[in-house]
Amino acid sequence: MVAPTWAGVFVYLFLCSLPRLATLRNMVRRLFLFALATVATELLALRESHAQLKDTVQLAPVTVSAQRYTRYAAGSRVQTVDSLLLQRRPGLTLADMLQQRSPLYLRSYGNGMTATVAFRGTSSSHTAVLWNGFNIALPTLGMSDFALLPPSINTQVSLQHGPSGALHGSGAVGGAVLLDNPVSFAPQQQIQVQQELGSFGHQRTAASGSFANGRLALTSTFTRTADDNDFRFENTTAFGSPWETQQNAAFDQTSLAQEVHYKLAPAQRLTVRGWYVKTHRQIQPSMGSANTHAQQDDENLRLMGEWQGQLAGGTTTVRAAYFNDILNYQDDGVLSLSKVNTSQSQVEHERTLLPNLLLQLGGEGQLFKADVGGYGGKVSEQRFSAYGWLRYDPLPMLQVSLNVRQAWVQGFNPPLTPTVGANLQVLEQGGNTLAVKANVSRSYRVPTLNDRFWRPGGNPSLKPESGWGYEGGLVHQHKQGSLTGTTELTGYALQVKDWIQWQPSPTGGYSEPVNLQRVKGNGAELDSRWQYRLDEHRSLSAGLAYAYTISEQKLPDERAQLQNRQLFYVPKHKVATWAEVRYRTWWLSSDATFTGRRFTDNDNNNWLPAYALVNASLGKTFAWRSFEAQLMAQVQNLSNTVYQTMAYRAMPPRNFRVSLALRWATQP
Amino acid sequence: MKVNTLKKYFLYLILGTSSMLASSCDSENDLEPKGAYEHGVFILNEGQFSTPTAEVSYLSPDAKTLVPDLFNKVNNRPLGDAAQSITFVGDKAYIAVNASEKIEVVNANTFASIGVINGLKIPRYMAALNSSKAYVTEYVGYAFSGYTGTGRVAVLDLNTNTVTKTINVGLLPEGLLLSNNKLYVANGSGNTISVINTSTDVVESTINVGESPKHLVLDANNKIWVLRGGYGTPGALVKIDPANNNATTSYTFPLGTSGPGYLTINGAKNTLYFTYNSAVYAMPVTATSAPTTALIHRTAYGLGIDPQTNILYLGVGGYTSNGWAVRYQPTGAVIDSFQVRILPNGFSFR
Repeated sequence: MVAPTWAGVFVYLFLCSLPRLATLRNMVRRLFLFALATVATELLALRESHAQLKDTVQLAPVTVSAQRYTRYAAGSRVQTVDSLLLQRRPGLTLADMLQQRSPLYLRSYGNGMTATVAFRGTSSSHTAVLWNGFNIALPTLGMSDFALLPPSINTQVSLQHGPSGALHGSGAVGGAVLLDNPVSFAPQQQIQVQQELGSFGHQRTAASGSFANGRLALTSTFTRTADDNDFRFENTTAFGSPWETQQNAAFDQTSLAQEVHYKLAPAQRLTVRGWYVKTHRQIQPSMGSANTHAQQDDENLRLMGEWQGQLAGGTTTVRAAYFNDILNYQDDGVLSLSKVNTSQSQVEHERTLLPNLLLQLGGEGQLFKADVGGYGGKVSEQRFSAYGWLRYDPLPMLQVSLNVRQAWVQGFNPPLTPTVGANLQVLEQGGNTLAVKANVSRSYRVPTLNDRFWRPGGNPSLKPESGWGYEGGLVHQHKQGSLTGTTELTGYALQVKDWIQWQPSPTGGYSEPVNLQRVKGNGAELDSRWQYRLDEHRSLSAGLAYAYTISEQKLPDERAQLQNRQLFYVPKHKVATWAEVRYRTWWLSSDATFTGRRFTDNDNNNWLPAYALVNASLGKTFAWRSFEAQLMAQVQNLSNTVYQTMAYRAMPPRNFRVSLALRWATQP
Repeated sequence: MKVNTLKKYFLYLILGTSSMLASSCDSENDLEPKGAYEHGVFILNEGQFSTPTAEVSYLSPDAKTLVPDLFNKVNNRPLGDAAQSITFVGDKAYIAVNASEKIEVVNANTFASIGVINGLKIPRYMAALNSSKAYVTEYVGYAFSGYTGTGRVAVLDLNTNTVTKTINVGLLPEGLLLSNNKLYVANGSGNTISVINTSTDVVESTINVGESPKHLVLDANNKIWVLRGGYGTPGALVKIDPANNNATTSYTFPLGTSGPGYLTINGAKNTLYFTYNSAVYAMPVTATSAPTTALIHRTAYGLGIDPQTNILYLGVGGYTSNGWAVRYQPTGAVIDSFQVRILPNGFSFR
């Protein structure tokens, strides 16, 4: 499996040795600077990801493409996840990253098992996941398994908290996870290989390489992760609470990502990206359930092409994508096969109408073709949407965005989803700025293919879910001397109507989806990140994210009176903190999370107790000319906490990992 | 000194006599409870499949006290994944938990856990020959992935809580019935009832009853009734007469109906109650044809009838949220309802 990557590496080495055209390079550089400057002026200062400490080897310069949305997201909360995590530990899945760096509650069925994420007290299907602009949620289930998403090494992960139907389309009801691979032609070459070993049969191999010469840019990532998960746990559901070894929980995952960017002309670029992930998992049974030898094989192939050029006085982008998603499940009694082909295309045009007025218009088409055992035949569905995004800065300290999207789906029409938001800077004094933000946004979610076509039960005339979100808050930024920091406080209210839920059919022994629930929520989020750079050799960075979440629906109690009940698996309190100290070539980092009590059913009969989880890692970098070696030791679950994120799915006790990375890089 | 001793002696005598009187009084009237849950209605909640959310709810005989989570309340742990049936044998209750592949054993009066029977594959229904020997159907035989084995009935030693023997029967055996030293097993994925001799534990014959027999009951005339039927074709009630060489009589349901559920019989053992085609039906054992009019037009996941009062209990509700037990008069008039746990699938009366 390593072969393709090494082939890629050789290609880079070959290309690096080609003589470069100095003039072209200069032109590219000028263009790049121009683009950077343009973006910088347009950008919300608030939205700009805070400067991050970089490893010794310089990483690729700042991105342009990842700002596609944030320009139009005034008044809403978008948080960039520390990209250092991925660079240090390529192969990490989104599930691992978000557990350590976000206030989101990750619902994980075991280490490496299915893991989903929900924003602001909604459910996992209310989280849109976009890869370079395309929604990659599995159309059959309408959600993404975050354990199946190991982003490539140069991926920027951003979290949009709160509804954003106008920007991100169907499914962005609670929030969205945005994966972007920035385009950079800045000349550089880099190769990295890494091997990690750990407890319970953990192994991870990663190799990546990137090359850019001003006209062509290539990036390849290969990762392979395997775990036996044969840890010991106390089976508290069984008579006598025996200690048992976890059965049927091994998995392996191989991921291959390739990017090619080519500059056709100074103002024209062509991009091709491919991302292939193959995962074989035994499915960890819950404690007290018999081992039925369940296993799941997922294969996700994602290909996309993108052309961007200056046309008709603005920037025009044309994208097309093809996804092939296979999910095959089987156990002793069930065999379930599914295959979905998705074709998507987007056309966008962005132009500056006035120096302080930016407009983007776009259209999107999606075609899903599903071959699923449970549908009793092949089905297909088409979806279209058109959108317009406006960004207006009437005053230097005021940014306003106004976005709207209308979708059309075969058989029914989701509602028009507008968003209006603003940031107002109210204070600037001595390195401190304070801004007020507010946002109102509508969202929608088209029923999944399962909701519409599953037999029996599927209902093609289900209404789409729709929601409204209202939020406001304060953003404080500090930048003075060696100390920089950002603190954001947000309060919100949210409601979702026509929430789809499967329930027993009144006419027979099966279940069917209905537009049943109305869920109302409110909460507060605090996010604070600080960096203190004492000198060249010593620095400290730390962050804290807290979420207070109320999300309720009305359910009958034992007297059949409707009562407000917290949605299951929505903790009222979740805190994630992390800190890192760097001294010369050493670093010590730690992250800790506290998760409050979570009900495990919507009736609030049962719950999982609060728990705290701590991870720590120690690393040292050895540098020799353009080579670098990085040695890292990690302890996961330092306090040996017994916890579950989904009821009765055992999680690993304290465990250890060591890794060695070798890196070679040049900068022009 | 002497006086004091004498006083003490008298005191003991009085105390002893009064306590003797008290205890004799109790035993005469059978008032001393063996446990808080000795009598009542035990509602088995299957739970959400693949999670250990099965539970037993308890309703007191006066229907005034409900304990929705009896097992967890007494034992401080979940019952398991997908409880299928509860069987009372003397002062013990055996709860077959099919996706946990175990039978939990509890003291029937206190519901305190006293043991477990492991080594079973998908245990469904149990019948006890006496206090030390019982049979349980193991629901094996999905045609999927080239299964070539048979369905199974396990013989249990209730003294040691172990499986002593496995008897091969038809595929996906479901309900079972002991009568006259014979065990009758409904082979859910076939067309037959297997008849097992309980002294030898060997299948001595099979009775052909038609597609998918599911549940069996014995009536007052010692006739065995079978509820059967697939999901695509009409089912039937089949009467077996063990006294007449297992001769069968079929009472077929009308065309266009399907979906047999559960079969039970009243305390007098002269009226059958069953769920079929999303409704509840009653049929006297003397009827000449299957009923065409439903007693209660409601989909019931679980069905039970109190042998004393003939009050009907229906279990309804969600696959993931609290279900309801609804009580009906024998006429089909609703009495009341109360909230239990996920998927109430059975009612036992003790």
